[in-house]
Order: sequence, then C-alpha cells, then structure tokens
Amino acid sequence: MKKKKSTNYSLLIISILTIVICVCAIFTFVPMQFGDTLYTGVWGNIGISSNVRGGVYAEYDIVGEASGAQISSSMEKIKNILVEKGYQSSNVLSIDGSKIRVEIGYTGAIGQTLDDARTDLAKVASGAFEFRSASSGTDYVAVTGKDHIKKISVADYNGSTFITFEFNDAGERKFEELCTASQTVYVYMGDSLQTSFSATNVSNFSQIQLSVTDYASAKDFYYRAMYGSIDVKLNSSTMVSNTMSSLLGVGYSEGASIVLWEFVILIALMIVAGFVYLAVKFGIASVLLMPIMMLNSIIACWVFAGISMFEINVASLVAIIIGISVIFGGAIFYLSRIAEEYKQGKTIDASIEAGTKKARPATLITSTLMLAMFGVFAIIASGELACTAVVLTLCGALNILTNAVLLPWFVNSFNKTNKKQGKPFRFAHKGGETNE
Amino acid sequence: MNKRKYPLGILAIISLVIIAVSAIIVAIFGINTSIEIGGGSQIEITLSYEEDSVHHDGRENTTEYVEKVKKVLKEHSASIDTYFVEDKLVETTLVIRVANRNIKNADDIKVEIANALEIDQAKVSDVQLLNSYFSNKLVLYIGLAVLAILAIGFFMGWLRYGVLAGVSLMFVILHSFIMTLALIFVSRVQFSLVGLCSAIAISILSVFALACILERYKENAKSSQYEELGYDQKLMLSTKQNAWLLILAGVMCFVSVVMICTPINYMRLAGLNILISVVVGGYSASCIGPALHGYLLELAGAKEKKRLSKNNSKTK
Repeated sequence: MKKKKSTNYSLLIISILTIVICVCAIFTFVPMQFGDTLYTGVWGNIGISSNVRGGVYAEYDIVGEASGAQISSSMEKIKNILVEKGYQSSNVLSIDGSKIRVEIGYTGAIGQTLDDARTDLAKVASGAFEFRSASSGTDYVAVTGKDHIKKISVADYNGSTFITFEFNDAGERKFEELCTASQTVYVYMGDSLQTSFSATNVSNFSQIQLSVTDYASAKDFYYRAMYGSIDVKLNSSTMVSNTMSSLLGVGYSEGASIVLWEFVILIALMIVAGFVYLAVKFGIASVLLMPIMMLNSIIACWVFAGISMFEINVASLVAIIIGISVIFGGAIFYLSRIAEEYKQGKTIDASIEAGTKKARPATLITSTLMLAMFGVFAIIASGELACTAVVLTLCGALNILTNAVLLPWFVNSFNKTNKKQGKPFRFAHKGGETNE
Repeated sequence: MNKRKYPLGILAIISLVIIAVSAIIVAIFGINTSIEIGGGSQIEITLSYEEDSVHHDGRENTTEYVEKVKKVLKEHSASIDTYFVEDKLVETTLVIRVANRNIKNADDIKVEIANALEIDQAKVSDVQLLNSYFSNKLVLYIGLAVLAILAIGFFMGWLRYGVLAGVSLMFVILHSFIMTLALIFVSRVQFSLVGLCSAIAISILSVFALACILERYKENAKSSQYEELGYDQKLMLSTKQNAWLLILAGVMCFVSVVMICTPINYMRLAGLNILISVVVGGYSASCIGPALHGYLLELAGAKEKKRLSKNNSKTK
C-alpha cells in the first residue's frame, strides 16, 4: 500500500514539474508585450558577440612612433579591459601599424545599448593617465599609468568609494619625487585635468587612494585610467566610431543573425534526431527525456543570461553542439544498458536497476571531468575560451542532472505505473510484454 | 579461440607519421591561422553613391560586389575570410578581410577590383595590413587546461578502473588533442580559436567513449563467460558492445557536414574543425585507447606472471 502511494507521489511530482517546465519555457523563450513594456524573455538577455550579430566599431590613430611590440601589448591590454567590462568576444586589431581598431557587440547580458557601447569605445582613447607635479608647462615630474602603475582597483569602504593606484618600484620612487617637488598632485587623462589632491598628506608612496562620489563614477574613472595606461597614445579627436554588420559575411543587413539561426536550427535538428533515435530504439523513453531536455535548455538560458561575462560566439555555439552530444550520448548509453539487461532475460525492474548501476559511472566520470576541468578554465581563462568553458561546465552539470538523477527517476516512476497497465507502453524493450 | 590483437604498433606509427608530417608542414609553410590569431589584410570599398541628388547607402550591392571581389582575389590566390558592412560618418563601406598578410600585387588588385565593380578607383582603399596579437596568457591558459584535464583524467581513471586505465585515459586525451591540432595543420584548415576550443572540447567525448569501453571491460573481465579471452579480445568485445557510440559520432559528423556545406566561411571552418575533432576523438577512443590499455594490461600480466613464477621457484 505504501509503495503505491510513493509511486503516485512520484508521478504527481513529475506531472507538476512538467507543467512548471512548460510555463518556465514560455517566459524563457517567448518575447511578450505588456502594454508599453516589451519583455524579451530570458533568452533575449544573453549577450551575443559582434562576430555573430554585428555591433559597433571604433578606429583610433596611434600618435607618434610605436613599435610592433608596443602596439601588440596595447591591443592585449585593451582586449583584457573589454573582457573585464563584459565584451568577451571583442576583436582588437591594428591596421597598417598606424591605427587600432576595436569591434564589440552591443546587446545582451551586460545590458548595453548602442550608445553605451559607443561610450565604452570612446573611453579607449581617454588619453595617457598621469599624476603630475604641475598643471601647466612641460617641466614637471610625472607618474605615468603605462610605466609606473602596477594595479588599479575600485573598492567601497563604509559607504565611500575609492580608487586605489598601486605603484611598481620605479613608480614608488617617482611618486615620492613628485610629492617632494610639488605640494599638489594633479591627475591628468591626456591633456585634461581630472582632479588634484594635496601631496603633503601622502605618507605611503607605494599606493594612493582617491575618493570618488559614487561607484559608477569610480568604475568609469577606473576604465579610463586603465585605457590611459596602455603603451601607445591614441588620438581621441580623430577617432571614428559607428555600427557594423556581423563579421560572418551573412549579407548587408545590420544585426543579421543568419549564422545564429543556422546554429539554432542545427542544434534543434540534433535534438530531434536524438529523440527520433531514442523513440525508435527505446519507445516511450524518448518522451521521458523531452521535459528533461526542455528543463536543461531553460537552465542553460538562465545561467547564460545570469552570467554577465557570457557571450554567444561561434566557439561557444560549437561547444553547445558538443555539450548536447555528451548529454544525448549519456541518455542513449543509459537506456541501451537497460535494454541490454532486459535482452539477457532479466525482469524490467531488474533491468532498470542493473542498467542504472552500470551506466552511472561512465556518466559521472565524464561529467566530473567536465566540471572540474572546464570549471577551473571558465574562471581563469577569458574571452571566447572562457565562454566555451562556461558552456561545457554547464553541460557537465546538466549531464549529471539528466543521466544520473532525473532520467533514472522518470524511468523508475514511469515503469511502476506502466507495468500496472493492461497494455503497457513499449518501454526500453521491443513489444509490450516483460520477462516476468 | 579468437587471438586477434590490436595493432598498437601500426596505430602508433599512423599517429606519429601524421604528427611528423604536420610538424614538417608547419616548419615549411607555417600555420594557416585565422585573422584573430595571425592577422591578415583588408580592403574597404565604398558602397554609398549619389543618384539624382539622393544619397543611397548602396547596401543592395553587397552580395554582387563580394562575388566579384572573390573572383579577383581568386586570380591572385587569395580568398575572402570575412566581409561586413560598416557605417562611416558620411558613407557606407564594405570591408573585405583576407587571412593573408603577404598579398602580392596589392596595387594591381585594387585596380582590378575597381574595374570588376565598375567603380572609381578612389572608392577602393589600398590593401591594409591587419595585425592581431596572440597573447602569452592564452598559451598559458591552454597549457594549464590541457595539464588539468590530463591530471583529472588520470585520477578519475585510476580511482575507477585502476592505474593502467588512468594512464590510458590520460594518453587518449593527450593523443586526441595533439592529433586534432596535427590534422588541422596537415589539412591546412585555418587554425582559429574555434578550432582550439573544438580540440579541447572533443577530448571530453573521447573520455566519455573510453569510459564506456572501460566500464564494459570491467564487467566483461568479471564475467565467467569471457574468462578465456585475452586482454585485447575482451577490450575488442567491449568496444564492439559500445558500437552505439558510432551513432553519436555519425550525428556529429552529419552536423559538421551540414555546416561545411553552408556558404559562410566561419560556419564552414567551425564544421571542418568539428569534423576533424570527431574523427580524431573516435580514433583515439576506439583504437588507440583500448590498444594501449590492452598492451599495458599484457605488460602488467607478464610482470605479475614472472613475479609469481619467481616466488614459486623460491618456495620449491
């Protein structure tokens, strides 16, 4: 009697779960209009790189002579700052050794509009960041961002926001010299005076903290100071910035996302092919996998939209294809083990028990490996590699959820009800009968 | 009794030859890198025009222009890598990028493009050199990633199937990563971040495939039904019992072939990278892995036998 109750509970939970999944799916994937408010769905908040869906570009002239090494190092620094800002798949290139070109996407998780993206690109040419001993003339002591600053950080202490500049050894000496030479320290970005402070109160020359009114201003100053610390000088007055189409050669329309749709269709085809294969081979089991795969895609969407540093780019789309293959592979492996046990003459209950036991280790090994390896990789890497790692880490977790938890639970619960039917569904074996 | 064995020697030679050939090709011709890794060249063509005092952005000409430029570049042994339209302040331009930094006859190309498009030469820019950077950090990340996956693969294999399986698992991961890169270099497919990501990601599928085979082997080794079979035969049987993995590989190959058939360069490249990765992953997991594991088991078995016979002779 007790057993029957638990079976009913399982089925009830599965039914409720399926309804919840369907409702969540609607809010995740379907854009809706509420009066004047457009709700794009969670899917609409996922960042998409400029490579896939077009974006904004800017070209900056390099002022004066700059070596190839200086240009490369500046490009790397710009890329790192953009990645920190959330533009994971930004492209940074130099043209003819005289210009630096930056391309970024402007939609997605970081909530950027076209104007925000343009403002961000304008910051790149903020001008050299310097602490100076004088606000006029050319004869002054300067602590420069590119030569003397080791680290810049923003922090909140008791409701006040500070930017901290840490100097390297040469910077520490230079800053001491500056404070001795002048009673006031002037903070410059290019030729524009940003702020000044008294040098008499400075006692520690290895770092300096500047107080800023609010966190947003501090962050803005932080990024401009970072850009002002690159090795080459960029001309802000000749900067060209505008929109560009996708980099994938998909036609002339801006925001063209044919490639994205091609990938979506391919992924959908893969999933359908997986279901068809499972349906032919294992009957009703494919239906059990459907809500789980739907749940997986909802979780994936929410995670991707929730991680501000995630962007969909070609590499992460390839990773999605590989990740889905792993999950489907795990499901096929699990169900084929059940079918095989059944073929050996075991009862369906015994087959499910033995199949689950035998399939779990391979799934767990693969998933743990994915979680451990790509989890670490997602944290330490940046750019496209980090996005790929995020996808594969998530697929590792979803593989465990699907093939080690939910699918066995669904299969067990379904089997308990199915075997009581007068004409049971074909389930993991040919025909309706069992070996009992 | 079936005494068939894995031809480990031949498999090793095949892998070594491919790796050696790729090393030679890289030494002679260099790596065919994508723009994001190795830089390239670009040409800008003004699309916008004035007609009856009305300004047109000229975007409708994009496809036609691209086709014509493609032909001109083909005559100079170059091909379009990417193209896109960008808005300047007063005009719209078509930017065409080529993953080749050493374009010869750049001036001739400019003239030929202008002639082919029947536009003024002033509307076609000079060939501009694009430089990218390959960050040391990126190399470090990839190195760390490969080391981490090798270490974790070894420990997972060791914990579940024993130290020899750990070694086999680790070797398969390394083999599939190196071989994927080698095949990308040999086939002169553009080496891009997508390729790199595929190479790393596909090692997971190899692990999954080999884990399934090892799981079967563990089961078969316990079964009295197969106790007369040798290590290699049991491994062959385990591989055969996991033939369904071919379907998975087949689906991925199908996806990659569809991608290769699209007219978009990026998609084609991604498809080629997946195809190469899947083929290598399948080869590593179903041939190299079981063959190496069989060999290691045989070695360990022989050593154990020797030790036992020594002990026996001592007791006698």
